[in-house]
Amino acid sequence: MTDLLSLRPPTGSVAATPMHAPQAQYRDGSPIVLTARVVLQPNSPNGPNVVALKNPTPHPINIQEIRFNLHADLPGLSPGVIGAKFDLSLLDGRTLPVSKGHVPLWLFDLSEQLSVGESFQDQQTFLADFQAAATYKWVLKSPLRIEPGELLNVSFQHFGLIPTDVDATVIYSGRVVVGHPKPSEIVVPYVAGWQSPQFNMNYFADNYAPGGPNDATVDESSDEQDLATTGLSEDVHVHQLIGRLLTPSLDFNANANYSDEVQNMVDSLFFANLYTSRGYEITKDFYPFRLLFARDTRSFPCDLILSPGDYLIAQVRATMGNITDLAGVIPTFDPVAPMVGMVGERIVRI
Amino acid sequence: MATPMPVTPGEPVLLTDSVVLNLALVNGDVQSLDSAKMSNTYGCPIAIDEFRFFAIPDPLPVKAATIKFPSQFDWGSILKAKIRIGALDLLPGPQMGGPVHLRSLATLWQSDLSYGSQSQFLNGNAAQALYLSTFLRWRPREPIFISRSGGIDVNIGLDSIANRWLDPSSIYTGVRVYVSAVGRLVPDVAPGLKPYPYAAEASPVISANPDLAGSFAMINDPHFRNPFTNPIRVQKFVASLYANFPMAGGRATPFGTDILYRAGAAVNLKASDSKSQNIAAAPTPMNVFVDPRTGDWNFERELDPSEWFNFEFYAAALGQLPLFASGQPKLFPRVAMVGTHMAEFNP
Repeated sequence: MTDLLSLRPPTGSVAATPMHAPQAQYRDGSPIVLTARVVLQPNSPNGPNVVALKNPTPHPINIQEIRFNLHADLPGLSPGVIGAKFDLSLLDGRTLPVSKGHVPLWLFDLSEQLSVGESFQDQQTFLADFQAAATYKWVLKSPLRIEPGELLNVSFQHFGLIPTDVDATVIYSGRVVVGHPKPSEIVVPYVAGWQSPQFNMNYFADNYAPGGPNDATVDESSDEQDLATTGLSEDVHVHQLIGRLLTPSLDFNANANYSDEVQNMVDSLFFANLYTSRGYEITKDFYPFRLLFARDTRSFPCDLILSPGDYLIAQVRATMGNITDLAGVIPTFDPVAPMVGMVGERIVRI
Repeated sequence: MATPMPVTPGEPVLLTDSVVLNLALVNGDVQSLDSAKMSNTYGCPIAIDEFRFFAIPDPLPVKAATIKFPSQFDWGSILKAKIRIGALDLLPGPQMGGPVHLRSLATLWQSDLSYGSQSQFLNGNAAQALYLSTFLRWRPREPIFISRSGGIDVNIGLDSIANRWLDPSSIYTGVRVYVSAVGRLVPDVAPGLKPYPYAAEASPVISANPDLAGSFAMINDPHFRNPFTNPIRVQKFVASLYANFPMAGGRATPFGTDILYRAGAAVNLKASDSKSQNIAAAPTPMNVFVDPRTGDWNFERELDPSEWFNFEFYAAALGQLPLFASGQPKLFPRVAMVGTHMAEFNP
């Protein structure tokens, strides 16, 4: 992958500061964690106390990871039912978008939390008394430098898929920068996401003809506003595309659940096609969704440059394809809403 | 579809095609991917970073309550590939230790203590509609460079009925295998020697006998011979073990399951090279020859041109196989070597 800038300061050096100066408590590379928490109500955007997320040190900090922890009193929780919106408030008064609106948490980065049985069902753990917790991690490809007094704002959106309040915690994890002058440019991440309208998979069940042909297809596509660099004035280097299939299901306690694990063979009925507004064909045809967005990581690594005004088109197709019915019984299928995320970064002059 | 425009270096490349293999053929089936779909049409050299394999039944069965199904199934254990770029074998043909089963190439991304290393493969659930798809990723250590006029020849094969393990009551008639080569444009790559991956495999069949002698199989030249004029850096050995008998006990392991983690001691092996240098002089249980959780051993040794490795496999006596039901199971140990060698590249 292309490195935009080598902005990471060397670690291990110690600022040449007076022994008892306030800055003496920080060494270059000192780890730091900023935490904030908020209770989210269905369908109400809400933000945590962002004061807690301001850089509290007299030095710049490099944010390397952003982690989310969600908790609810009822199951059904997953990183797909909550979205986050980030923007960066600079000292010069500008506010730079870091995400395009509220993006579902599980579109910010690839998946690496695999539970036993390969279930991406929820990335959650069930606690006692039908509680649920879900975690997710966004590892920034390049650290985000935050000067003293600057703030990476965040607000959450509870999409209302589950009826209960969600307790959301966000953590910025990084390191203090000591002894490195303010650069003229910084690398700022950028994430956009698109959620397709739900596919009514019972359409296929209702239209299934024993003996065939069963070649019905249903297509949905993002548009020029979805996976776009709207409002940006810099090129965005997209290094990763994330693909999820949001579907309701029942957990082992028969509670409503939203997950990225499509039960039964419906998982294999989804295909995707990707190209850019410049006409670059990332895929030359529709390929299985779980092949393109690899099943083990839900991601497709890439090195794509989107200039201001460019956008990515994601097409998703559900097709009955080559289904065969062996016993004359077609089950009812849950609806599926495919999601595609675009993760990248750009260089901003400061 | 938008009209393609001049491309930007570094942008993603995805070459993909699929074939359907017939499960009913006694001697197995082999199909070639469309070479046109696997050709470099980007106008500049490309680098392939990984191969992805995605196997699903074809046709895809929906719910059939009367159908029994194995709780876990690994298509990668019976599907194999032969891949070459121009005249250069990445995965050779039958004469030289190929084709190589997909399972031997893939990086296992989860080990499950209950079922060995199968849990990365989706389960079929007999109580619901059946879905059995397998996703496997082969990521060579170095990218594979392909010239602007080059392409990838891929053959996908299915083991013969005698050498595989599908539930006899299987409702499948075919399996569709997608192969994707994922990479990027590299227009500025210089000509010269470049690293290319190479893998070869051996899959003998041995029977466990009730007497103490056990059974025996030997793998010699040319399975693990270096066919090139440059040394092969053998990065790892990958091992797996299968049986045509379900394992007994509370954790019955049905067909198509790699039992190396749980029963790798059922087979011992000895290994040496063509210069009589011993690698494993004494009989060594398979599940300690490699890491049983991942099935591999980072070997990291050179294999000179025309040299080869020898393997001998010994089945433990049946009385020493407490995890198998009574009978005379056939055991299918499998060993693959995966490495890199240098070859000339012309953009």
